[in-house]
Amino acid sequence: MTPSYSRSALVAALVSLAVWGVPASVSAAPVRSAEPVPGIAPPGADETAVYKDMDGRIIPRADLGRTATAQLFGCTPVSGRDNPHRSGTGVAASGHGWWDKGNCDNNRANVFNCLYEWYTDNSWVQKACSPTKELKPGGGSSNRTVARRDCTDAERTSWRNHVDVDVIGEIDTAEKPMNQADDVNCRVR
Amino acid sequence: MRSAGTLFGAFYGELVPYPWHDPEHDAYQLFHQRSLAMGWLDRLWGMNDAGREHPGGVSGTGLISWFQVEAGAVAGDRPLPVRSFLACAGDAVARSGRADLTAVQLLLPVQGIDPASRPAYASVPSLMAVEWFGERDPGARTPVTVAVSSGGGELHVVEERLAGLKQDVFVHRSSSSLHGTTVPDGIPAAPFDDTFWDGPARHHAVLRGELAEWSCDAVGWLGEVVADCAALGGLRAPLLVSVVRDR
Repeated sequence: MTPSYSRSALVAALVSLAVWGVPASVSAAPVRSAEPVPGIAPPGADETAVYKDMDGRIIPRADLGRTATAQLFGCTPVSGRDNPHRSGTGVAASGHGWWDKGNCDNNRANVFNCLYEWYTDNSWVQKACSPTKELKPGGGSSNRTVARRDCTDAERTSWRNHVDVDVIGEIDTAEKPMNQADDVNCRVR
Repeated sequence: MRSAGTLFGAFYGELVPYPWHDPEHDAYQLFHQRSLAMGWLDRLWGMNDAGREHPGGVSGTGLISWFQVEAGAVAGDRPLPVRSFLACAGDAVARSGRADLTAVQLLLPVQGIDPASRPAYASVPSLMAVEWFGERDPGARTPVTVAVSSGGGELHVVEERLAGLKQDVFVHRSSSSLHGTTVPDGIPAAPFDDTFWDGPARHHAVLRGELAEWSCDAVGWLGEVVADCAALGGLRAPLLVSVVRDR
């Protein structure tokens, strides 16, 4: 005997499939979430994003700033950095770092800066770091660091430039160590 | 800071450093310091880069300095900050030596201007500051060639709107249009690669006329006006503008 189905029940079933898809219990194989790729960071991404090093390991937020002890007792240098930008000297993303004394006394600091690219899993992934240099304050031509990474293509992408300043011989804090994200015509895949 | 896009400026000519000038105080530091002191940094623009050498390492171009910033969002009643940008660049160069400029080249982020946000009394906001040039040395008027180049958009809209403005800071005498990637005669080639902007330049409007004075101020004013004329004409991509002194 052939089962009978009402027309309206069939239509309802088809609509349900179209809207909700195949029920999980019926799926043949698990669906993999898409791999994160570089992109444009939405507003407010910095409030929830994680930072990763070049090997994909999460960088604890404490390592990007200063400890509570330093904030209590330390002097505050000026962490100089510019916006990550397309370099006019090649197809690359670039950013500079330097420092100034602020209310610190000593006039030498170990400085480096790193560039981070935003990915669609809401992470900032480190793409290039400058060597650490012992610098005088002021940001003059021989007292800046530069991090640079060649682009895979010129797709618009969000980047950040972080500078790390460690004044030699003084406990120091660092105000706003992570610079603002700007969209750059450079993507590193 | 929201961004309008990359604003780039290059100076051509001759620069003789002062005997006391220390190269440690290079174009980058001086420009950054000046823009910080004047309250422009992180308000009108964010710092990118600057230098004395040609960005592409090309010699013999006459380039003496270049400056690059990320222009901030453009307010409805304010122009792209080209005049402030060139004032800052000019101050930075003047701090290091005596300069004789023969040309100024600008990359203008026209895509960052929203003409619909302009109030009716300020569709070209720089016209509100035109009286600054109202009183001037009559001998300061300088013949110039202005080349406006785009990667895609037609440029007659810029010429037409410029011609319709009530101003005599730039008096337009004649013009010609060129198409193709060949740089017009006497105009410096862009000192950066095509992917840096909307290049290669495929359309050129070459305007000949007189500028009220040969100064960063007048060139900056003209840059602002060209950018707004382009935006009003529907262009939404960076423009390369070269202003060359004819004598």
